Amino acid sequence: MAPELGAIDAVLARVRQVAAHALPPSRAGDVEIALAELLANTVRYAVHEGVLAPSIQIEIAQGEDALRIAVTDRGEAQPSDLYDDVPDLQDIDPLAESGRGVPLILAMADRVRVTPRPGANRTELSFLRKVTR
Amino acid sequence: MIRTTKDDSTGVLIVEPGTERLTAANATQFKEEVVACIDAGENMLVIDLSQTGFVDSSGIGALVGVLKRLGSRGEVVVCGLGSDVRRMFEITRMNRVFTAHTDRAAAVSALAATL
Repeated sequence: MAPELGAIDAVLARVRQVAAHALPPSRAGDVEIALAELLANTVRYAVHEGVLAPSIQIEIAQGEDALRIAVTDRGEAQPSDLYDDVPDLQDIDPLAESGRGVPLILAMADRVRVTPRPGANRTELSFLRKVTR
Repeated sequence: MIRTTKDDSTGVLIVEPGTERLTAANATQFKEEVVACIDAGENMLVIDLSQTGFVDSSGIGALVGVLKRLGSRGEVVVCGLGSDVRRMFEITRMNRVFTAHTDRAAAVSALAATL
């Protein structure tokens, strides 16, 4: 995917199709919400030495237990604590104009695994096939 | 981007985002265009989301920004929320921030009743 906000919707449309087959109907929307936020954050922050990373790689794997989507960018190593101490959506000021992206990712995905590495930041979202929520 | 329609009998401005998806790719433009309407004197707004099937956190932020820009000078409500947008409103608690009406006619009537 090109590192452009305008490129996100086409990716989401394809991923949503996969999710609709791989997950219960109620979860396809979760995938779209979480991945939209992850990709937007990746485009915004995937910068290396002041230059936007040239591409963002998206991998989809359908396991027996879960649908896994990994996003890898070639920017500088992202903070290792990006997903630590994230406020719950319910605790965010309703009148805040930003700050909901990461909380939404954590609320929608069953698991978020981050591997920060310069030139190869990888964030993997897992969505369980079995409805647990 | 946005499409606006003025309800002459009430003075309510109906705003359609003019996009199927209100997201990080266009939320800033949406907010700037609606804020320009507010700065031009519009103070009763209906945001009609009936043709918008998806809103991300940037879209939510833009809607909140519009609400804050209007402040106590007027009212802004939303209408026509589809299932995915309604869910996003619930997840982010926007259902407690914005009054949502089924369609623009109901929204305009409700706003007119506050005049």
